[in-house]
Amino acid sequence: MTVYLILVTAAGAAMVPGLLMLWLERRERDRD
Amino acid sequence: MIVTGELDLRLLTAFIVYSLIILGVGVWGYRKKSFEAYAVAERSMGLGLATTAFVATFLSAVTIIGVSGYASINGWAAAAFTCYGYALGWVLLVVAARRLYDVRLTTVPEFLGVRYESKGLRAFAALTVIALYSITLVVQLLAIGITMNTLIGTGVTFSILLVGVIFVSYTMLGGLVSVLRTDMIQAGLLGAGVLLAAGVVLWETRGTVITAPPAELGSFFGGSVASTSDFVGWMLVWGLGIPTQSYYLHRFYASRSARVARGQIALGALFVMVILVSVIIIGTGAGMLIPPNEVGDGAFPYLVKNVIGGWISLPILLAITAAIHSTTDGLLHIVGLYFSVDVYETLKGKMEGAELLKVSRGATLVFGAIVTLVAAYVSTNPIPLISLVGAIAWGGMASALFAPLFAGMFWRGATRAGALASASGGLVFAIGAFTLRRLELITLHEIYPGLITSLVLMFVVSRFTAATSEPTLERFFPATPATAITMP
Repeated sequence: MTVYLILVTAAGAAMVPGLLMLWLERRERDRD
Repeated sequence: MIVTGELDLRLLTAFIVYSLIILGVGVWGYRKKSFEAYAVAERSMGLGLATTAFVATFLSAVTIIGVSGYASINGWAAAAFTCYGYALGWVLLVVAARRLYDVRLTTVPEFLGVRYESKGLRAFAALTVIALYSITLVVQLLAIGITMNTLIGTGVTFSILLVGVIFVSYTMLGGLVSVLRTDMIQAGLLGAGVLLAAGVVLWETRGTVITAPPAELGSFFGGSVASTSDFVGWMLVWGLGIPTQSYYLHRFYASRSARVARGQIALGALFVMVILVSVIIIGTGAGMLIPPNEVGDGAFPYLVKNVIGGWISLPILLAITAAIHSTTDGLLHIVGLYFSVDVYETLKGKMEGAELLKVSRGATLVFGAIVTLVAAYVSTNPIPLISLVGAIAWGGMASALFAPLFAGMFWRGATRAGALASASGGLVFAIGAFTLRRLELITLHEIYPGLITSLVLMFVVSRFTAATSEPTLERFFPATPATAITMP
């Protein structure tokens, strides 16, 4: 069970930079 | 020369073929004759090249050997030690990407020098990076020497010289143009080899490395991360250390667009995580498959040699070699370039592109030769100081540069005096705390006293000293400073 949780959270953590990038880009587009 | 392994001609031939291909790519990069190409790859790096270069640079041989070794003892707790802290580091790199891309400079110390209008800070930052990276290069070369000796049996010293000649040559010839191309090949080899090894481990353990690892290898906490506070602590060590490393930040200057600058991290993070989890599978599997007295840093090489064996050890060896080359070339490029642009040119005065290129190549060759020879020497005559300084590199870099860099990017109120106090105070406190930890007087990682001192000094000194001039602030915080913090 622990290992599955680690795998899921690690996958989630790896996606955060991408989601942040999309959010920053949207914010910059809205401002322009 | 220490020769412990038996000479494996098949692996040696493969290694030589790989080296020649990589050298060929380096020579190809040599055709580009401009300093702009050497320093920042003509600022034309696309998303594909940028992402593979980020993946290859991020995963060093020390990461692969070190993390798998750590997992062979502590199992899945290796994830708590690495994955989440790395992710925090990537997040901060994404935050910094646009700011560095927009100012279109050439080096990280130059950013500090221009933002704070201080040649002194620029030289201090460059010398800190050059000193710490030179030591890190020696440590990385020693690691590959030991690994190659185990796998191919070429002897530690000879292996170091062999690897050294290759990466110094192509980095010196082609600069960033060659580093990025070779990194692309190396990322492919690295990914393929590690995934293959993880596949073999899954097969050998019948999947139990994931579904039912032994209790001591299957928990979240373990090793250096025994509690939630350790977890947060290590997350900060990686998370704040990664975004101060010049070999990542430098790539933002080389990016074709702001989108590429951010995208290489966003996309690269996914690939790095897949490879990192595979390395943890390999390490935990090694903990299950190899004799208990073989676990630790030698676990992965032992597993390859004695459990996996056969033709599969070939792509795995290439993966490890690719990992070392792709990190050392990035480090050496930074050392050579920063020496010529931030130290030599600062002392000598403005130089033309052709002259800068000549000095950069010369500095790359000299530093490359020195670190290779020192590593070769240390392999037979250990100098404890090397590993000691190697260990301070991470905390020292973050303590000296994190506050000046990030305050410089996001806070208009950050001043030259604040940055100077912050960089020097942070480094001094980090070294002091590191010494106390070595003497077992404290258990705290040196990054905490270092970073806290550096942040406090940055804030306090900046509040009471003269602000940076308006034209400079206008350059770093143009028109709509939505993300900048204006002091009341």
